[in-house]
Amino acid sequence: MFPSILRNVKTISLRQRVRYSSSLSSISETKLSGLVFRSFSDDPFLNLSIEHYIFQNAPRGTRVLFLYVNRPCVIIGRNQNPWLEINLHAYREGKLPHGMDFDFVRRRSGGGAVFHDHGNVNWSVTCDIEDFTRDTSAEMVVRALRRQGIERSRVNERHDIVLDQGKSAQLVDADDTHVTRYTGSEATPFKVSGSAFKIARKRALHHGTALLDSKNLGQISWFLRSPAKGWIEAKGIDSVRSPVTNIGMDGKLFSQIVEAEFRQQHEVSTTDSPVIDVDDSCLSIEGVEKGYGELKSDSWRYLQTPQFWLKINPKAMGEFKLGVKHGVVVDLQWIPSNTSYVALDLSSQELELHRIESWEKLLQNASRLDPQLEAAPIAELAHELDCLLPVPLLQSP
Amino acid sequence: MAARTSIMRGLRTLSSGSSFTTSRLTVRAVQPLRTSLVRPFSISRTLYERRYTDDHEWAELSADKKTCTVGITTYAANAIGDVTWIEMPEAGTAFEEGDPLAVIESTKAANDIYSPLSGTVTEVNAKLDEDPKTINADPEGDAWLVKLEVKDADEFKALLSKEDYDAVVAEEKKAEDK
Repeated sequence: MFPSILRNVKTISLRQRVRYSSSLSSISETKLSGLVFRSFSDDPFLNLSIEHYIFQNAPRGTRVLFLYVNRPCVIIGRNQNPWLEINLHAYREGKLPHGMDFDFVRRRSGGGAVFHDHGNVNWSVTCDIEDFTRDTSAEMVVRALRRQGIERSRVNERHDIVLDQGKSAQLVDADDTHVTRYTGSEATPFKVSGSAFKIARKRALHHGTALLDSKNLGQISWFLRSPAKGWIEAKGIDSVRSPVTNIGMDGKLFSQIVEAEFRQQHEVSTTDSPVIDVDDSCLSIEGVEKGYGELKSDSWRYLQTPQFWLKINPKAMGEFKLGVKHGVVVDLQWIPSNTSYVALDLSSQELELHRIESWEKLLQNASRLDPQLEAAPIAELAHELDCLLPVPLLQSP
Repeated sequence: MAARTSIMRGLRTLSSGSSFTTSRLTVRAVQPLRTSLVRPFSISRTLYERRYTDDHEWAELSADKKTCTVGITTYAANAIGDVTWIEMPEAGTAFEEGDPLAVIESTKAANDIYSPLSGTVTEVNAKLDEDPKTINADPEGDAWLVKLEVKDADEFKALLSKEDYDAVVAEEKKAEDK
């Protein structure tokens, strides 16, 4: 099924496609104060790369709104740990319950892990740093939602958008996007939109999700549940878990109202600055293609992981500790309960954790160099590690 | 009695010039970094000249003009907010002036930091890896980011003086107030 903002698109001629990509490739020369882009691709790697290209190339003084929908994927923050944030077993199986593939993506902005699918529209605003606050763009989206009668929506203290679940109890300023009549401590608000930011060279990017009518709401916590949680001690950024819900709105309508709000707030007319549609023809732009390759690379997705340790002490197997830095195993210690001390040096190897196909083979090789380890319960430990640190599905090189 | 079996040590061959060793990583994994491992910040700070970029980095050139300490300014640290993680370069990595040098994450924002000079990283501030929040407390002192072996000391002269940098900050504050 296509995302709803794509539904009334039939076919795009080759000539049009060229025009689309040329509007993006010439963005650095624009004299307009506001631009609106909309993507016809649902490839998360491409959409994030187009967004990054806009962020790096739109000139100062130009504010850009970009709207896109991704196919099912789990997207983690720049400095997060896939072994800790996502269910790599599910990713390895590569299937949603109804048989749909999903991707694992590491984005360039900060923050925590989120799940995207066709029931979620992503919005992003790029502007000058002087015009940026962490709330400005979320406030714009809340104003748009409230115009459609979503009066429980507001911006919370984490710059996310939530729907308040309390009873209508207070009189509030209708223009205040940070409080609603339903704001209160008696019921936890539901998150409908999460925010993340990227700041560089006096420009700022705010991108947010908007859960509109996701069919996978019940599965989200399953995608984001790591089997190794509780055993991993990690540097970097933890996700803050929040209950989520759908806004209950059509994707096309959401895109329209956010665009309208953006145009009204920043005086960007449709005549001077019509919507620019982009798609996979943008891969012909060098900067987009480069960013796309980087995002898809295993080195970005796995080796970018901040340092972490896995510590387990399964029954009858003693203590096991694994240290991983930049995705590479830098320390591996095992104190089997039935063995005496032996040291093995495999220092010539550079073991990337995401490439360890068989823990059993690895531990057996180690034991061949050390006869005293032969008595250790290798198969049991290997099974434990396979469960906790599954080998992900790798991109073909 | 079960004794410690170290199956693998020094798995990763680190690039030359790196000051890390596997055993040190192991130490850091289980206990806080001993202060003796951190080289104290320049004692005779006043001897050195400090210059700035309009992207809010500072650079301090050593008296022999061979090495340079790099950090972010107090204004930048305040603007970035509560720092949660700093992505540092590896010792031994070479940068051209203006290349992205580090990424500072704060409240869901990834902030790019650029190299004010061309050079090769000789040391990264290990204290920031242990406690990234240090950068909010003392960005122009204890919380320096890296030390660089300078490629061309002339580049330093092109950076902003304290007065010029203060003027940049004043301009930005004025723009924000609008």
